[in-house]
Formats: sequence, structure tokens, C-alpha cells
Amino acid sequence: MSDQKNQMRELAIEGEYHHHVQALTRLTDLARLELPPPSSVHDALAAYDRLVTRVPRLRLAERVPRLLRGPLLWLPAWFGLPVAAATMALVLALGVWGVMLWRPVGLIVDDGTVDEAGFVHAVPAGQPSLRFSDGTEVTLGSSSRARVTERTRHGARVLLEEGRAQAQVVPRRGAEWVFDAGPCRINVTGTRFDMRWSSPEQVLEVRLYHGSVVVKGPPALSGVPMRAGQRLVMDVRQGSVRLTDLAPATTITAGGAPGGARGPGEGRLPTASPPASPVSASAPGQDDSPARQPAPGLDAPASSATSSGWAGTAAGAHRGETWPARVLAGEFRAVIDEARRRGIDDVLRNDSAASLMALADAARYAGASSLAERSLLKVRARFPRSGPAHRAAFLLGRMAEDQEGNLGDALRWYETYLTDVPDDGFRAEAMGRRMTATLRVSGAAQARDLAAEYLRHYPQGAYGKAARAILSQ
Amino acid sequence: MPERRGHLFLVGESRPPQRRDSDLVEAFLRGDPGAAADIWDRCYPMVRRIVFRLAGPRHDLEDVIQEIFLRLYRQLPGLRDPEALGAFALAIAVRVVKGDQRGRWLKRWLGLFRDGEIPERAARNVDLDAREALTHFYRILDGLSPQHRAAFVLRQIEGMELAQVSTAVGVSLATVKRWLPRICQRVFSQAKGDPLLASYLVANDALTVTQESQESRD
Repeated sequence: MSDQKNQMRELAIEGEYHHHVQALTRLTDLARLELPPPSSVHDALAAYDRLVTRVPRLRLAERVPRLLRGPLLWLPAWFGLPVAAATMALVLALGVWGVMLWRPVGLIVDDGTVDEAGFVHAVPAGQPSLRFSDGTEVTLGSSSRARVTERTRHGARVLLEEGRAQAQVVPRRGAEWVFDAGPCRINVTGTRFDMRWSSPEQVLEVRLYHGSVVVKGPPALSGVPMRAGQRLVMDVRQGSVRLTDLAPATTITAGGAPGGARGPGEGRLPTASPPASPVSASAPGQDDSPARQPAPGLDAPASSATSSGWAGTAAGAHRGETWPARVLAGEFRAVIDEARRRGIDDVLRNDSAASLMALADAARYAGASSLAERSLLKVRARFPRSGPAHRAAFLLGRMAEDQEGNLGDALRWYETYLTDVPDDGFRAEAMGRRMTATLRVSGAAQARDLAAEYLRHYPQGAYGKAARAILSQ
Repeated sequence: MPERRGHLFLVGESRPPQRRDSDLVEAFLRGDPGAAADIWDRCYPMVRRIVFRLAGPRHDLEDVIQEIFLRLYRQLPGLRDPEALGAFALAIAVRVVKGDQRGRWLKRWLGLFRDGEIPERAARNVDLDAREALTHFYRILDGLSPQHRAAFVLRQIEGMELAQVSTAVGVSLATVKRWLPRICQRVFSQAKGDPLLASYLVANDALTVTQESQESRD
């Protein structure tokens, strides 16, 4: 009787199972139809390349247990399990200590991730914070782009490609922290500072709250030493450096707005007016005359704004301002909305190169990549051989590489950019990116010449380590 | 001119006759320098598809695949039946993804990282509703234990035989048979409770009868 009951029960379960399977058919079919997003051949090749570089290390690691096993077999009989265990524990502890001693600083990312190339990706609406194991913390603006290019046991190297970063470096003996921004570099040993890099304007701003740093860049090759309470503005394009006292009211919070709230204009330029008289006019090691006025792109909107710090203001405050000024003020969405209201086609057909570049910037920062691409292409079509058109070529290459993963297109744009102009603010980065993209597409042999060329021009550049690695293969 | 690097074949190249799995394994064990690439060629599409379905859409797909191949190469000397290269790779893939999912679950639970969210799908020419439904569906699968998810995916999406599923998941055939109805019941109930997914469930009159029978059993 109970057998019959069990049999009935099993049949019922089976029937139910088949019905559920049938009911889920559409969903399982959908899942079956959806294949993983196509991996480009180059991605697959790069993955395989990474794998084969790891395999020799793997084989080496496999030898270790065999080496350890040998002596243990020769131990006398009295060498019992407790002694063996204690020895193993000691060896393990020494190994862990050795690893701790020599391993690079650890890294945890809040509100974001770091991919294998070191690029920091923010979670939606997040503000990534890089927390290193020595206590150093670097907080990025949500629309900023940064890359951890190197980690050593003494520190790390962070490349700020665009936007702003707030760093609090824990002082340690022998600490080596480097922050790159375009062609500029900040050497740090232990301090707290904010930095902002505008790639289109080629302007670096550093606000130093504690400690001391040395800022190097094309206008100051020997470096400008900064002490706490100073603000530095380095304009690469104009070749000027301006060092002023930092007004106490300009202290900013991690959120980018006074009081810690993140304003809608995250990433906007500092608006506090610097003190009336600069404390230092020119960079050491430069025969330059006293520093020129900072780039209009940096300070011009500042003088017209009303609030202090990097907080955003309502779009209405900038009513009547040009798009470049509004983009510099962080009003990306407002600029895009206005362009849409006017009609994108109309804007692309009639507006100036500066406006289109500003629209492209706003679209890039707001994640509207197709609009950014259209704007940049239009700049190249309507204003050939102009400065904006050259910069557009580089930005198109960067978008193709970073956002679409299309290395072929990226390489073509980098070539176009590098061929178009003998020198420009993006040149170092374009050469570095062309080198790494070629490495991924065609392998180390094809990238060797580019690596050598890069090192010839920028021996201390952000891609220097990658170039040396290519040449050593 | 088709691009070719080492033994890794790219687009449009006429390939030489396929070697048998056992030949590939033997060549690898002999130290043939091209064998690793050949094994990669043979297993990569399957491994990629399985990882995608087991782990759902995620940013580090290639990293997981790389880990699988590392283990595969390391464990190949222990493969008893060289003809079973595919099944061996599959079992390793399932194991790696399971381990990875446990780690992600633990990290989320400990609050160390905020990862594990299903990333947005890349915009492609697909039905937007269907894409959204799939995201919801994967969210339900995320709620299953790694082993249950593997069993469900391999059986119901990959359409594998029960014996293959049990080998890949590393449990007995009887366990898989016991698991599947429960897993499907759970997935079905949750899908039914989701307004979007409910519209994707195939109407099934007989289901009502079985639900009644379930109630009567209770």
C-alpha cells in the first residue's frame, strides 16, 4: 500500500516537474538563444597571451612541492608528525612574512572596480574610492577617468586621465606615490591634496592641504615644490605655472561639495578666487618670466561663478554662458539637453568647433557616447586641419578603444592624430595607447618600434613601464 | 590575408583536419608547443558559453575563462580518459564558476565589495523586453546555490543528459534527479511572482491540476 503511495507521489512529482519545465520553456529558450557578447578576436588573443605568460609561472610553482618533498623523505623516524607540522608551520609563516614584505600594496575599490589594465570603473552614480593597504586613499569624481598603472611595495602610480581626484597618502619611510595627469606628474611621500586634470584644456590644478609634493610638467621640468596651504595651476598649453596661497574657504570635501554633499555639478572647476598676489611666479629650473595668467578655461568660469569650492550650482546660474564654460562648470546634462532642444542635427550643422567640442565632452562625461562620436566626427568634417579636429581624432581613438573595444579603429585614429600634428597635449598618451593597442592586436614584435619611440620621447612617461616590458620580451 | 598567431586560428582560415581529443591530450603531455593552443581552440567556445550561462553576464568573463584553462592545463596529466577532454573541461568550468560564485556571495555577505550586481547588457539589436526579462531571469538564478544553478543551467538551458549533468556538477545521478524538480519548482514560483516574467511563462492548463494535487498532498 505504501509502495503504491510512493509510486503515486513520484509520478506526481515527475508530472509537476515536466509542467514546470514546459512553463519555463520560453525563458530557457531565451537564455539559450542569448550567447555571450561577442568577444573580438583580439580579446581572445589577448586572453590567450595572458594565459601563456602565466603557464611558465604555474609550472615553476608546481616544482616547489616536489623540492620540499625530497628532504622530508630523508628525515629520521623520530621526526614525528608534530615536529613535521611545526616545521611546516614555520616555513609557512616565513613564506607569508616574505610575501607580505615583498608584495605590492593591496588595493580595494569602493563604488567601483579595477580591471586588469588598471582602469577604474565606477558603479552607476558612484564615486570610486581606491583604498590601498597602507591606508592611502584616493577618491575619484564620478565622471573622472583614472588608471592604477603600477603598484609596488612602496606605493603606487595613479594616472588621472580626466577629472579630479582627492588623495590622502599615509606618510611612510620610503613611500613612493606618483600621480600622473597628462604630461604632468606629482611626486608624493605623505600628504593630503586634491588634484584636477582637464584633458581638453591641458590644465592641472593641485590643492595641497598637508605635507609637501613636487609637481612636474612641461612648463616646469625640474618640478615645483609645494607646501601645505598652496594651490598650483599648471597650464601645459600656455606653458605657465601659478602658485598661490590656498584660501581656507576653498577646502573641499570628498563629495566635491562643501559639507560632503555631492552636488549635481560634480567635477566642476574650483570657483574660489585665489589670493590677490601669487606667492611664486615661475617654476624653478625655468628661465621663464613670471607666470602668465592661468588658462582662461580654468579661471574664467571661476571668476563668474558665485559659490566657493567645487560644488555644482544650478544650471540657471550659467544661463547665457557658452557651452565650453558650462561644460567646465560640470553642467554636462544641461548642455546635452539644450542641444537636444535645439535639434542635434541643427547644432552639428551650424555651431562653432568650440561648441561642438564642448558638446562632445559633455556627452562623453555623461556617457552618451554616440552623441560624442557624432560631434567629434562633425568637427573633423567641418573644420579639417584645425586644432579641435586634431584633438577630435585622438578622442575618437580613445572612445573606440575604451568604450567599444574596437582596437582597429582606435589605432587608425591614433595614427591620424599623430600624423596630423607634430606636437600637442595628447601626444604622449596617443603614443602610449598606440603602442599598447598594437601590442594587443599584433603582438610584442610589432609593438617594439613604438615602445622604443615612446621611451625616446617620454622616458618617464606613464606608459614607460609598459614600453620597457615590451622591449624586454 | 587571414591573421594567424601560433596555433591559434583566427577568422577565415581553412583548418587542418581536426585531431581527436586523445591526440591533443597526448601531444600536450608530450610537451608539443602547439598543443595548448589547439586545446584552447577546441574548448574555448564551449567553455565561454557555459561560463556565460552559469555566471550570467559579467565584466570578468575572460578572467574566469583564463582561470579555467589554467586549471585544465594543470590537471590534464591526471585525466584518465583522454577522449573525455570536453567533459573534463566542462567539469572544471562548473567547479571554477561554483567556487567563484561562493566567493562573490561571501564577499557580498561580508559587505567587503559591492560587486555581484548584474551588469547592463550591451545594447544590441534585440528585443528590449526580452533582454529585461532575461535580466530578471538571471536574477532568479543568482538566488540559487551554485550547485543548483549549475544543474538547472546544464539540464534546462544546455539540454545535457542527466548523467552528463551529474558528472559536471560532481554529484550522483540520483541527487540530480532529486534536485531538478525542486529547482524548477522554485524558479517557476519566483518567475510567476515577477510581473514581467509571468508573461513569459507558457500557459499550461494541466499545471492547475498538479497544483491542486500538491495542495491535496499537503
